[in-house]
Amino acid sequence: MDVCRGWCRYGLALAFGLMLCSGSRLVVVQAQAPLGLDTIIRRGKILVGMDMSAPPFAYVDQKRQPAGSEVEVANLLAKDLGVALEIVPTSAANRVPYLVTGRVDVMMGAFSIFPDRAKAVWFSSPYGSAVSVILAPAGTRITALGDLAGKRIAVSRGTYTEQVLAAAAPKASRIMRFDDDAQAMAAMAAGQVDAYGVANVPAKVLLTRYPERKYEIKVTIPPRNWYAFGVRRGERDLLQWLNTFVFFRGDDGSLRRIYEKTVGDALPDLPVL
Amino acid sequence: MRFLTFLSCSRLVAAAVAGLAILEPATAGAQQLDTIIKRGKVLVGIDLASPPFGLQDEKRQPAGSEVETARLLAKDLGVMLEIVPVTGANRIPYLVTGRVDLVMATFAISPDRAKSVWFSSPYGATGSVVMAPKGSVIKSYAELDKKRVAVARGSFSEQALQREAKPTTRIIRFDDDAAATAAMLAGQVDAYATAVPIANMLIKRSPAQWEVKFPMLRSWYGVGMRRGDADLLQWVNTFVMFHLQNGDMAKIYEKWIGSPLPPVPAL
Repeated sequence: MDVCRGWCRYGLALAFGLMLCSGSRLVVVQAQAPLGLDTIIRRGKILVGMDMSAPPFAYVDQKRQPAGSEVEVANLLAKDLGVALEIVPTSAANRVPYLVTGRVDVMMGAFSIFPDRAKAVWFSSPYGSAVSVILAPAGTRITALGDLAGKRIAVSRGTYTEQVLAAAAPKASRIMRFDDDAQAMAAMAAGQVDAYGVANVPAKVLLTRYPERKYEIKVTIPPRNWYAFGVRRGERDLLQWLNTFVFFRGDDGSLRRIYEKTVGDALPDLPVL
Repeated sequence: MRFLTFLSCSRLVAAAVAGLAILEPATAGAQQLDTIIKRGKVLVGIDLASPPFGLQDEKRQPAGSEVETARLLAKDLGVMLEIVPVTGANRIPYLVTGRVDLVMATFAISPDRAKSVWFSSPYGATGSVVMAPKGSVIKSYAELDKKRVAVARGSFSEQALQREAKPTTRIIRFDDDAAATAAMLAGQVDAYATAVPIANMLIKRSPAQWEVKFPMLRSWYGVGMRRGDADLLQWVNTFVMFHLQNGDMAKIYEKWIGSPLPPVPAL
């Protein structure tokens, strides 16, 4: 009986889990999570999700404090809203579930805009940009995307790079998906894959962090991506505030300053969504 | 008896209608666009004491860039324009309590205000500049060091100057822009920090003598509306985009402000 109850519970949990993972989750959860701008202000705290293992966007520094461009933007956002900031650590893959189930108010972490993702969440206007690249040991001969044929390429699941790589890599290449960038990176360090697809900005961090491994950025995978705040579909009021924030802090140079200081590249002129 | 029932019923209905009428303007998510069109009139809050954006002309008629833009908006909506005079301080309360449908009062877009109201995409800019005689070497705040700079007390220009200029800059405060202007024309100061339209006017009057040295502040203004009405926002954004593209906004801006409309970003 107890066993049965246990299994029933497990079954329910599993069913709920499946619901979360499938497309139907949106309908179920959105009704339960009517969070919005007023809720955030009344609560006095905004919950922002980001992957904290993605330097220089978001990471934990030597003093065990959150740091990076995304952390700085989140701090500015909380300051402009007049509320405290709570960063909710996520992985790249669980960002959408965290957002739609109401565990965070706003998703960040270089959250790239693409149409498939927009079926699940709404994006603000973008405030930053990155390009995906192929990283590989110096000795590996890759000078064009065509050279990926026959190669094993690691990539983190649920990232923009996974999307553009799947579209751009030749059919004969083997894309190996990992749960996060740390695992994809480890696979390349262990020689389990020939190359690693990742955004240019974290790739540069890897080059300086592990000079002994002699990695090189081999090719870029167009097109450039634009990242933005993600909110639950239907959160029109919160979206309007976030777009006003992007407009104002873009115009006064704050977003450019944060990006150029932490990312090291010039921020291209931002398009408007 | 039947009469009484009818009476109480009609009272209830009247009360309900009155209640709706009170609630209607401020209801979140309301389709205010239809209400405005059905009413045949749009209520626009404009500050008529902020020339050249909003003012009363010699015939005591509303004029200025915001008035002209509001007339264009009402014409496009196919309704009458009712201008409701507002001030900087009561713009948001008038909007939130439903006394106006829209605010067009050089309403600068900011994240703080966006907690109370929604802004359309911007259609113009306000700002301050530092102006000085043509031969002067002033290029930035750095060259204002130890210089005498005229400014009107309580203006945005004064705030910016106080915040950005070196402490050794000699800020000379006047009661209003007329007095500050007079001081500059008399050569009592080295530079003058003031709003763009005033600088434009002075330079137009004697272009050989004065020039703008550097901009201090710039803020973009949009149409303000109550939060929650995506339908009205969509229409206003379409209006703004259309008239930015066809040149009407640039024409109105240049006519009143006296300098070309800078390239306007979208929100």
